[in-house]
Amino acid sequence: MNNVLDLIFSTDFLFTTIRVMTPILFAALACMIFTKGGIDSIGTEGIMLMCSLAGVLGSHYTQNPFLGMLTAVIVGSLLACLFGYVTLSLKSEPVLAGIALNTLASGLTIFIIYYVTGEKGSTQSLMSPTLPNIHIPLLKDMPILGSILSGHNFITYLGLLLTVVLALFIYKTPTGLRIRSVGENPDAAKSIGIKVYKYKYIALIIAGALAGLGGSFMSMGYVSFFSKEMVAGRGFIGMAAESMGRGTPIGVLLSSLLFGAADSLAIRLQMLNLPVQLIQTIPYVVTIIAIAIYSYSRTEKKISK
Amino acid sequence: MSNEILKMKNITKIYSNGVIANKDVTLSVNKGEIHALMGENGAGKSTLMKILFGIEGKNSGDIYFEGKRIEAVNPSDMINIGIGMVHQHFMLVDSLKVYENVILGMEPRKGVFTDTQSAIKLVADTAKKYNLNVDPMAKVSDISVGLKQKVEILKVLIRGAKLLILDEPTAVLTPQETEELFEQLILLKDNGHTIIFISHKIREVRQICDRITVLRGGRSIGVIPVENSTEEEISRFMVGRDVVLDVDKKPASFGEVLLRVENLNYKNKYGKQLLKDVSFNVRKGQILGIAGVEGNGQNEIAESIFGFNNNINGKITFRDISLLDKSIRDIRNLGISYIPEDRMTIGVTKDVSIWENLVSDSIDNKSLKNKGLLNIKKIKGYARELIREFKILCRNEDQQVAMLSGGNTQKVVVAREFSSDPNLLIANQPTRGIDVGANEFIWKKIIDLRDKGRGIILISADLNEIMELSDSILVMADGEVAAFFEDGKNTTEYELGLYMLGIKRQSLEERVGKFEKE
Amino acid sequence: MKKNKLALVEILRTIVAITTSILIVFSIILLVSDQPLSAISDFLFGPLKSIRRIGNVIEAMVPIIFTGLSVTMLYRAGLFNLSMEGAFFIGSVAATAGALLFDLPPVINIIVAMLFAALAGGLVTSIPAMLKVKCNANELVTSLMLNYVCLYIGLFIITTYFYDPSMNANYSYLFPESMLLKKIIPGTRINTGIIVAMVMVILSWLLLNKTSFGYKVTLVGKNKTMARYSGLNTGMVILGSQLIGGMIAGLGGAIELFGMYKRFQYSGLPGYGWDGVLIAIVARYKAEYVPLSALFLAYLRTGADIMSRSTDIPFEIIKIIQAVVIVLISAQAILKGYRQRLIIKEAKELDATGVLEDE
Repeated sequence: MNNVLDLIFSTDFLFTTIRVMTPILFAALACMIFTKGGIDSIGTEGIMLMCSLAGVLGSHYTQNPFLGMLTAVIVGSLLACLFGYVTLSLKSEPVLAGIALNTLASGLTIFIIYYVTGEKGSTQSLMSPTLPNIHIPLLKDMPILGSILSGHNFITYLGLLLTVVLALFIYKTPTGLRIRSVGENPDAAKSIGIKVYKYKYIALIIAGALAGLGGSFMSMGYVSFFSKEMVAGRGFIGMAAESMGRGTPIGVLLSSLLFGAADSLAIRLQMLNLPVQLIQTIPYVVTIIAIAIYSYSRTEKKISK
Repeated sequence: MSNEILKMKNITKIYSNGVIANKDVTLSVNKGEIHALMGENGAGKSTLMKILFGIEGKNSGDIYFEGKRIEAVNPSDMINIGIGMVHQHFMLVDSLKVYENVILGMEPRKGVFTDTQSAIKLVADTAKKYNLNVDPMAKVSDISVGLKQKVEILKVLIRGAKLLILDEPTAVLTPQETEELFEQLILLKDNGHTIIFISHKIREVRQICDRITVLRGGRSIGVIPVENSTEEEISRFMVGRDVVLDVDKKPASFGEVLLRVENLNYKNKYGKQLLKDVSFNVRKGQILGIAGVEGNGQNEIAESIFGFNNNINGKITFRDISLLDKSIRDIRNLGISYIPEDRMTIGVTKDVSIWENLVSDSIDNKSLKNKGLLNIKKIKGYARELIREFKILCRNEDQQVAMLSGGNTQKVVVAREFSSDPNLLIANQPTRGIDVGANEFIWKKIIDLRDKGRGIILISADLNEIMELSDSILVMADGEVAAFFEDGKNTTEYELGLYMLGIKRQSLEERVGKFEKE
Repeated sequence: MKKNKLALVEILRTIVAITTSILIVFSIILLVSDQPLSAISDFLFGPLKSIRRIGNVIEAMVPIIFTGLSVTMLYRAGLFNLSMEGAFFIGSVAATAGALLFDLPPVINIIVAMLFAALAGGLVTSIPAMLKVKCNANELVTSLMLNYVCLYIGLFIITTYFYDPSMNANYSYLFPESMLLKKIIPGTRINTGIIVAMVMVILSWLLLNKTSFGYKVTLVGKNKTMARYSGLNTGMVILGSQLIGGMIAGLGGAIELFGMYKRFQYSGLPGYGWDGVLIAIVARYKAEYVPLSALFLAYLRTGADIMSRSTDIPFEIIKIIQAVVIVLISAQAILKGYRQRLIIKEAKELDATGVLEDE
């Protein structure tokens, strides 16, 4: 039994937690910005998938992983804006438009890799440089902390940094204030002359870029190639993490960490010969329960207050 | 006329659903006056102001501000030239703080960040200058309605508005808050601001306004100076009938008590006490009118009886059966019907057909079924009968309710609620904002029901309606019963007004005594 | 008659959406393909070229009729419950269990297996509904999460209890021959599943249009407050509709399994649930149009499949059509002007004539 606990609560476990948390954190941050701007976030999944591919292709053609990442960011923003156009101007039902975006992503990515590589499964045959892991000086030499916190992918650190930047952006800048007002009460914003669409599109661009970063981590950090459906619901988990984190950056970070831990636990427990598939349900079951409890506590408060 | 600050000329607006909201409306406002824009609900006041403020487009007409022709395309242009609007439904972002709401869109900056310190100072200083007592750091969702309105006024003033539009500002205020608002408005006027004051309350308008433009049915009827005009003259202009509606009514003959409400207390989800020890009875053959300024608990009485509210204390019994803990289905099965105040969101489902709306309460009736399946042919036939009986103007029973006018939509609600032949009918603002024809028709139906020996609770903000229809009258003020008149003839509109405004209040003995006597 | 004109607008919108999406795909084909004309011709007319291919179209219709009906039922109550995907999958897992666990007489066993599937599917979709009604939890997020739970639990059940060691993937044992649905048209794989599907269409239509339950579902979906005020038990109506929607999806999982496979062999969610969203939208959430809408998608799929095998255009291009159709049909802004003009005209006429029309 000690063995089991050792395996679970090792530095390795915590390192993996942070690693698998990364794409979820980006998805959740993207969903947070979408939600702040009053935009439905179900399309995050599809944007991430498209950007995973865009990153690999950009990296392959430029042979520079950072340009690959930039490609993913641009594609992410463009897709988010497309979603914005469809829901804001064409007035499509947002949830349906999000589903459409996800459908499009799952088809178009396969379509494109087929044309680029001649295969339908993955881009393993392409030479695409990945983003570097970063060993932080001083930190990396510290006994336990070093092996947990150092040596992660560039995007992981970027994600943590962006969490702080976004917190400042949302709460401390005029643009952040306007995005919040546009998302919560567009009529109020409009009544004092704030251009609602402008700020919605700013939110869309930022959220799309975040989803793009999350996507590029999948194909240029987590693994070194694109494979079909590789986002595998992380965009949806991001929605859940946003909702559990109550839309605040710190809450979003903590719930992403929780999902990361659950995911990482699943990976660990698989090594122990426990039923793999049941363990894989853990993060999802945790999410459902957490959302139910959170929602219930909110309805209760309303009545008893 | 050189004094004219605003002129709206021949404004016409047709909404996309075909409703003509404004037709050739003309409005002229002088600098430094408080100008009232009056009219009944649905007369087109709000639409006209939305056009002025660039929220709604107009189909035709011109607008001049300070002598220059302006094209109102969006609110920010209007703000820039010095027009500000305080909307009837507050335009505030609830999760933000007061100062954030006020400076939104004009944030002082320090580098890329908002300069929070000077923002707060700016808001606090402006609030002080205009004597608007609000805490810049409070969260908007936590403050009272009166304070929210001050935040709205502050928003407008801080943007340098010369002309302020206030859309029914007193509708949600207590009398004290109203007085305070009026003092502030007069202060603003003395400071050289011009104010357009939208209202349908004659007394208030006479108290602070200089001139009145009256709208009726989407048209401007005329401009009256407040001085030298009586309330009667103004009201004649507003309603457009020399005699207010009058109905023939047989003397009442009350039967046994149907509904008893005893010591009803209700707190809403925010913990605000909306009903305080409310007690009354409704008898067979009685129309009990409940009068009061909107928002003084009348709505809560109706919803409590009809099973909408949870946190009720007290007793509500219908023929000695307690209604608390009963579902709406059970309450309807006891023969109680309800015409809700909000007809568009509660009374009907707009985007389904008329027939589907007419049977929403009776869909489980065996008579509408055939071997377990709905007998659609029969249901539609039944719907056609109701359409005919209640003179609902429509193409046929398959038409969507969204296509009907306000009066006809209300007739759909009334038809359904009467179709179960109720023992007790709660009619909450049954004729608000509908045309005279539909109004008279609904009144007649209510009186017929009474004459059949049924009980009726009539809730209305329209004193004419209360006086004409009610056999007995209850007045609500501040969630409490302010007065009760067993015989409605024993009072006057004027006296009811005093009770409604909380200026007068019957003692407990006066009221209880009357109930006991029954 | 005027009502028909508005319906016409909706039909027009559907046609615009479908035509646009197909034109977009044609342009893509023209751009990237070396043999664009034969690709387009295969895509458009390929499915008609043989009995077997027409059979393929009908076969492809079956699962998506079920999920289309399922989404129709789920959405009519006003919920975005997307767990039909998991319900379909769990339905086929439960059907596998029903087929392999018992040794009942042939017909009874197949009925038991289908019942299993329907109940399992109903259980799945009821979970987000229950959480919505009891906790007010956003059904969109919970149902998306639930789909993954279904996937892994389903695979766990198959690999733990029904795994055929002679196979090297997540395959179950072979079903008894008697469990497989009978082929009804020679030269094709068309089986009795299509009959069950059509029966379900009729039953769903009856339920939605001819029973008070269906009426209540629609009313609750359109205006919950008004439904509650009218005395309906909105929570029960929501739960009931979600249960039934899941049962249809679960049954679909069983029918597809016994109709097209000899053993359980999914390794991931098959995606028919998501197809159901498209089917239901194109059918405007009306059960009677679901077969037509399923025919549309099945035809495109078969065409795309034929095209992908004979040309250089991959099958997945079909998803582009799906995405564009979903967006454009739900796009209220398209043809809005025309619709509005019709309504205004109607309002004016009614004002002018001002008479009741008696028939």
